[in-house]
Amino acid sequence: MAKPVKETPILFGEEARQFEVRMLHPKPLSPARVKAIRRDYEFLRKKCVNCSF
Amino acid sequence: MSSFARSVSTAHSEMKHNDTLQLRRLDAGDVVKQFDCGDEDLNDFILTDAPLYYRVRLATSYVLEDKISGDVIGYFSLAHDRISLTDFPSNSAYNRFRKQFFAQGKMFKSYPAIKICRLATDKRHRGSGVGAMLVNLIIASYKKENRAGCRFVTVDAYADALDFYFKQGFLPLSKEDEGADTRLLYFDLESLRSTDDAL
Repeated sequence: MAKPVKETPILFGEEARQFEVRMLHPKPLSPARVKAIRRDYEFLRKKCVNCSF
Repeated sequence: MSSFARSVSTAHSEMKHNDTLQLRRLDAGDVVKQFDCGDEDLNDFILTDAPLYYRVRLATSYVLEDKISGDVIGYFSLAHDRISLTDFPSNSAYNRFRKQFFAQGKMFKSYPAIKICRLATDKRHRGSGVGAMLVNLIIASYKKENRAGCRFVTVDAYADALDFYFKQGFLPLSKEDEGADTRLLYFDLESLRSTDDAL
């Protein structure tokens, strides 16, 4: 049996505050990175058989 | 072009001519007969556990495979997740923060996410960029199709896979697990907000 996946921890205090600041100001991805994401999405979506995500 | 970009480009050129490639969800009765990524735990999961996880609704796994030979090139498994924040102490600094950024007074404390429970590439395809392609598919699917609220993609990454995820734009969630065997990372789907048209 494979090891269970670790639970995502709850953030608190200063880490939670910093996380919310990052949420409010997400750093945009580079155009090259966006292009790669789009390319892979368009390519692999055509290969999906019964994908439900 | 960076070596990373070259490897992704290689994966595309190799795969776009492969008409027998498919991405398939593993259902309860499905079996993967052969897969070796070099990690016993990741192998064990896809060879043994994945259909069980699907049946009891703990995770759903997808395999990228050759539909004729059945060779699995890579796989990933997903489960719903969330990033939760505890209440702050009611100090004046935090109150100023809230007043500035949450004028409506509404403050969510949990944010929906999708977790990459496991992701692996068969040793024969290592370094070809397949893993990056699978991550990009997950990111774009949850960004573009938006079937349910989802702000983040999370992953509990092996220490030796951290650089891979950092290159994809993932960030550490906490400093608590710095130096540990695995580390919780997240990707903010809103980092694609200004580029909706592009996706």
